[in-house]
Amino acid sequence: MDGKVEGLLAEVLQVPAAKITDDLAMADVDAWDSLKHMELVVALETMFDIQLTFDEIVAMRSVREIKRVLGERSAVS
Amino acid sequence: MELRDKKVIVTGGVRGLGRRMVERLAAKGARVTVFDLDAAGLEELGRRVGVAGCVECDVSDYEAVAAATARYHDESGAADVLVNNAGILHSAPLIRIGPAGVERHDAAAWQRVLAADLSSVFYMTACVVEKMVATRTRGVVVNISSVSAAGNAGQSAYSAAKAGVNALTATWAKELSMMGIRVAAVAPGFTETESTREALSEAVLKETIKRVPLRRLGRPEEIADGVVHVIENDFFNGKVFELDGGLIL
Repeated sequence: MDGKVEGLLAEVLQVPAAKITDDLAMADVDAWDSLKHMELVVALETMFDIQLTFDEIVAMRSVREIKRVLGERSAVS
Repeated sequence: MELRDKKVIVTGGVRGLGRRMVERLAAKGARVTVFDLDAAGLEELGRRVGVAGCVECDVSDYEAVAAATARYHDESGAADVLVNNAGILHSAPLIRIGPAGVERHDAAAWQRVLAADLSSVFYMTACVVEKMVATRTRGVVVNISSVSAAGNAGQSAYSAAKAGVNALTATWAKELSMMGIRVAAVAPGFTETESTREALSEAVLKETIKRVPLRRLGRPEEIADGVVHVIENDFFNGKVFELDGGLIL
């Protein structure tokens, strides 16, 4: 997962990779609205070959939370 | 999408085109639930057609839609398909010159048509798709539009409502496709239904038929087949499937 999530976030959100830190949250990025969030979800699902639940999608409102959810997924798979 | 065993909601399914859609979808093995205002009609439909459920609901009333869809979801879970068919056909020009002088289009009629033909589509889709998204259901929404969306003289409110339906169809396809939800529309031309006969005089109907290259009205089963096609063809998305005998070319 190292670097893959950051790279994908940078690409989807059109933000420089250097700005993608764990603390970065939806509220910090103008482009990260609900539609972009759905686009991000689909991109993550494709990249990791998973289907996220609605609760996971709602929880993933920061880079840290995205990594936590994906970490839990890889721990159980 | 293969229709067998899929949960399908059809609004306005008691009469006319909606009835044919219900029959066609049920014949395909879908589990059809009909939302309609007509309680007696729903009772009759339930007896004659093998539907999964009948829900009495005014789909132009947001609170009623929210309550009825919540009950549906509690009992059945997310729907796989929503067919937004309910609506009313209303013909009136913007300005009528009659024996009493010049009259404006009735504002109450305008509001009534917009509520029945456009707001209902928004209310039902918002409530049904919310559940699809929450359960990650890869569903289909089919909006029943009309060739009048292009602008039909004498149908200000109906044309505006159907143009709105086409705009919502494109908007929602752009918003929801990434979640695996398709949205498309079927736009019938003039069709052999009671509402067509009620809305148009015999003389106007004859003139209309002359303008159709195929020189006839559409048959309800042809429109119902169009709805089935849109549901079954997984690459049809965001577009309006016009079934009008070539009226608009």
